Amino acid sequence: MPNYISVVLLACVVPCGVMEAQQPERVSFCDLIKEAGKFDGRVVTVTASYRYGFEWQELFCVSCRGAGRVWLNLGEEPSKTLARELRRLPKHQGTINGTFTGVFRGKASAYGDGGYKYQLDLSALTGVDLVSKSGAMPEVLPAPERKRLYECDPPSPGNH
Amino acid sequence: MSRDEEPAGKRFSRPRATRATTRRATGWGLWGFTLQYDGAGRLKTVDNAATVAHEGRHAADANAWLGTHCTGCSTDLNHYFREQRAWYVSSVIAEALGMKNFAPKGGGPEYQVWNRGWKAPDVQTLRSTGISNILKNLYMAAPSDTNAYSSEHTHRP
Repeated sequence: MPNYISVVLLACVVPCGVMEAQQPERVSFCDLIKEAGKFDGRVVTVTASYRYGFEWQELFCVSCRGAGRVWLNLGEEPSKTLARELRRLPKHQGTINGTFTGVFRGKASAYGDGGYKYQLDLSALTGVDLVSKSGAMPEVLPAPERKRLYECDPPSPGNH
Repeated sequence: MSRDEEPAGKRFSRPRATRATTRRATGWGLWGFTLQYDGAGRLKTVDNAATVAHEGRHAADANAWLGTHCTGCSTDLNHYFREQRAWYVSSVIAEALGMKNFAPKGGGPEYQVWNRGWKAPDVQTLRSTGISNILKNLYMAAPSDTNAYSSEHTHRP
């Protein structure tokens, strides 16, 4: 009987461990939004622009902006590495380019303040490049800052 | 959120803790956030009051809709109108507290929803302009947005 229990426990524990070690899948942000359902629950890495401020934020690429709003969930207790990266960002609002890794929630819902269709549970942020200390929409950023926003490739035609 | 935390002419009794310091001391206020006083016993974080009032408007609006879960009714507000109402509250609270000005932190003067220097006949216009700029340029919200409560919370009691 004890051996039987051990086998059952192992059967549970091993897949859990495998899931935690899931390697991030690098994907274009535009492809991620276009095929959101396909990436639901998967750990992904995307390079994109991110603007934020009091009660607003937007993870986007210029070439597919508006295709679907993604809430960047920073979590209650980010890792020390992530917290250090976040502390380096402009304090109250700003716009950055960066590489974002985390579990993607691709089933259409009402994330964030309710106005976001998808969510990325951020676990790592790398390659941060400050674009602006303003978190305003790209259209109202000065032209030199606007030019620095991440374009992304448009969705791959054969990827659906 | 404020550009200036100094309340004009508002004096509060000095908490005991401030006697030990001349620059700044803290005490616990309502809702558990910290109220900061300067050496003269002035409440430093009046912006917190405006922020709490802003969030209170959101809570009240959401509660109003939760009472009916109706679709397309007057309480089924989209994001634009929710934020418009909340920023209006922030603005009048900032005015009532005598703050120098009030805007989303880090934003420029075009986002001010209150400024003590505004002339009385201009206040309503400038307040509306500030709120409008915030909604359009920062929140990316428009009156025609379809993201009302009923579209975001499809479950029903």
